[in-house]
Amino acid sequence: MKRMKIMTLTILCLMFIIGVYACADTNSLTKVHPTEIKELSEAVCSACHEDDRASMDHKEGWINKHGFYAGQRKQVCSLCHEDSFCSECHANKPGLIPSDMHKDKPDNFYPHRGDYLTQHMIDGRVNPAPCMKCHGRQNNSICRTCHK
Amino acid sequence: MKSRVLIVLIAFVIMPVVLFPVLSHAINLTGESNTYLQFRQATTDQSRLIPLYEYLNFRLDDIADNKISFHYGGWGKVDLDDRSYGRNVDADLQYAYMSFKSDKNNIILNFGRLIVTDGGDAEKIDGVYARTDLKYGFSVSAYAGHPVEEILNGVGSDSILGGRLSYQIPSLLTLGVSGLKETGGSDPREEVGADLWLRPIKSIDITGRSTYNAVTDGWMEHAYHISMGPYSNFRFSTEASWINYRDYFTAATVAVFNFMPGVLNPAEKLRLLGEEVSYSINDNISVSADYKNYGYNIQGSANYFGGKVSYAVPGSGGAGFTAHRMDGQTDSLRYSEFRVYGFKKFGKTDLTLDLLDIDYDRRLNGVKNAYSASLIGGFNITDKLRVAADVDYYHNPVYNHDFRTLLHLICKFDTSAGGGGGGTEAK
Ligand code: HEC
Ligand code: HEC
Ligand code: HEC
Ligand code: HEC
Ligand code: HEC
Repeated sequence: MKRMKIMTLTILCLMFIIGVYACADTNSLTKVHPTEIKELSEAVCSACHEDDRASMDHKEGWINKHGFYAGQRKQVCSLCHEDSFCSECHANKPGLIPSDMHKDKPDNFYPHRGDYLTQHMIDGRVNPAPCMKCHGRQNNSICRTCHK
Repeated sequence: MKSRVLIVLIAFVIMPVVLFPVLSHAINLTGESNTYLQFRQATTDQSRLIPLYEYLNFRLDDIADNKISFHYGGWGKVDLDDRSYGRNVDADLQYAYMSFKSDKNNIILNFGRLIVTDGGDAEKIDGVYARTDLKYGFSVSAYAGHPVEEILNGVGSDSILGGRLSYQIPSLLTLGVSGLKETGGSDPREEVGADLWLRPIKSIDITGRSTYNAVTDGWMEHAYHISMGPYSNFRFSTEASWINYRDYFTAATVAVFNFMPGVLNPAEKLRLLGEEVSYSINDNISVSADYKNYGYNIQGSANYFGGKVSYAVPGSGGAGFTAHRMDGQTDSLRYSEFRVYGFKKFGKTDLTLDLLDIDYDRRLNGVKNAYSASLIGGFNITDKLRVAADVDYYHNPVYNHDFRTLLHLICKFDTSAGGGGGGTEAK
């Protein structure tokens, strides 16, 4: 039943896509952002943009929201970020802990600064949902040493 | 094991040595190498570790009229202390893909190992990804391949298939529906999601996403944000989310999320409300206050609140102070957290100090205060070459007293240098 619904939905979507195909004739985004922005404190889009781009200010709440914008248009992120930047926090396999990689950027947000083995017992109980995103199906061999 | 050694070898030696001279003439090579040498104790058995990590990433562009590029990111590790046996050598290929981008319609075609985020989940796949703009503000993307994941005891999925269809009215609205399906393993996934971005007026920005789990037949999560401002230097950021544990955690491949007795309860539901208000005194100084309320069906509620004062001058330095309090239902879920940091550039040299203190209401393994202090010194030898050294001291229930040191060498390369353009990456 469920399968059927999803199948029907997929087919409807496909028909729709074929329906509105015929190229849109929009111009593609450039590959790199026209101005060089290096530091987090300069990544305030609204300082230079007034349109929809202004909503991507890397200010309060950005760390909770960036995944949403990446979900809508990762192409925009790629104007300034190589995937390696994302991979530092979104690792599939444990390497260095993200906060250890750039101790010289104290202004940036990093998940689990300091000693997280202690702290995680509390944060993981209070809200395990963000942990699931990064450790649920990947980067969890380290967890298995204790959580068997 | 053999393949691991091979990847390490490639990451450390062959890639930079071979690629650089061969390709630098024809096409453009941009990238960064980060080498870390760490001295620390093992997390689990307190043995000494001296891991040497090499993180390498690069991009090749200007291929075929600047329409094709190649992207690579990966790391390799060797432990220099031969007393630590077992995982002496390790490596991971984070991504390696070929990308085609057209001049019109934002057509993108990627294949290889890639990170796909369409719909809002960061998925790693070995496969293909394609997107294009359509007429009337629509656009569509699709991906298929083999998921790159860690699997517990069961069988890993052998295929992943997903996509997103969206509709946009520039500067006002973006609406998307997305779906993904992972099959062939012991932890299948079937998720359908809707995402919304709305900017009714210039200073209000609404984002939201709801995800439905078709395997368990229930909503996994609703997550909504409203950002408002600046109104005479005030900004407001409000968030609300609802999470149903049964639907959200089912597909996990690690025991802690697998609903074992005493850990997560599948019947639990979490409602999170959060607010952050910030005020910019001027371009460089801002103060903010934040509050989060965690409400549950079963467990008692928790509150997290605090504030921050920060100061930053791009290219010069900054400082910050934060204080937060976690107020869980029981003593074991209560703590206060303080952080002070500062960094300053002096010509080519820079210095950073970072202090973190967590004060637990109930002693954990006899420790009431867990703290860490880090001192970092950096030196920019040239624009493209930087060394940094950290010394960290930790005092906590796990390590009691521990010193860690980390040496970090960053080397950037860009064969287009001098030609202008290119190389304007933030990272
Ligand atoms: C220092 C000023 C400045 C800042 C800050 C800035 N931009 Fe830009 N951006 C520009 C200029 C200049 C252009 C080229 C003209 C234009 O498209 O408006 C541009 C172009 C763009 C484009 C369009 C590229 C294209 O090919 O059409 C996007 C998307 C973009 N910026 C996103 C952002 C985002 C997101 C942020 C915040 C993280 C940001 N910008 C911050 C100056 C800036
Ligand atoms: C105009 C350039 C620009 C664009 C576009 C841009 N960013 Fe950033 N972003 C930056 C800079 C600069 C930093 C600071 C980098 C650093 O400190 O290494 C940053 C930092 C971040 C951080 C770390 C924030 C923190 O507090 O540590 C995240 C996460 C992030 N960006 C995600 C994204 C995502 C997702 C997108 C696309 C939706 C995006 N960025 C688009 C310039 C940009
Ligand atoms: C943005 C992704 C991300 C999020 C969110 C995240 N982690 Fe992590 N975590 C990592 C990465 C990357 C590492 C480093 C790799 C490693 O050592 O396993 C790590 C390491 C850890 C470690 C090992 C720390 C140590 O000192 O060895 C623990 C424990 C941990 N995470 C628990 C959690 C918990 C609990 C949560 C949720 C409250 C969480 N993490 C959220 C990415 C994340
Ligand atoms: C050194 C051992 C150790 C490691 C490694 C470890 N944990 Fe834990 N974790 C614990 C202990 C002990 C608890 C507290 C259990 C309890 O209260 O029942 C805990 C609690 C948790 C909780 C809260 C569960 C609850 O409801 O109380 C989560 C979530 C969690 N850990 C996730 C992780 C993740 C994700 C990782 C890997 C990134 C990880 N842990 C690694 C020992 C560890
Ligand atoms: C400084 C660490 C950091 C960096 C760098 C970072 N993220 Fe995240 N990301 C996080 C954290 C933490 C979360 C979880 C936020 C939450 O749920 O509260 C997250 C969540 C996400 C999510 C949604 C949740 C999921 O399924 O993983 C996506 C998508 C995402 N990030 C994409 C990106 C992209 C794309 C980049 C690079 C442009 C990036 N991130 C860089 C820390 C980071």
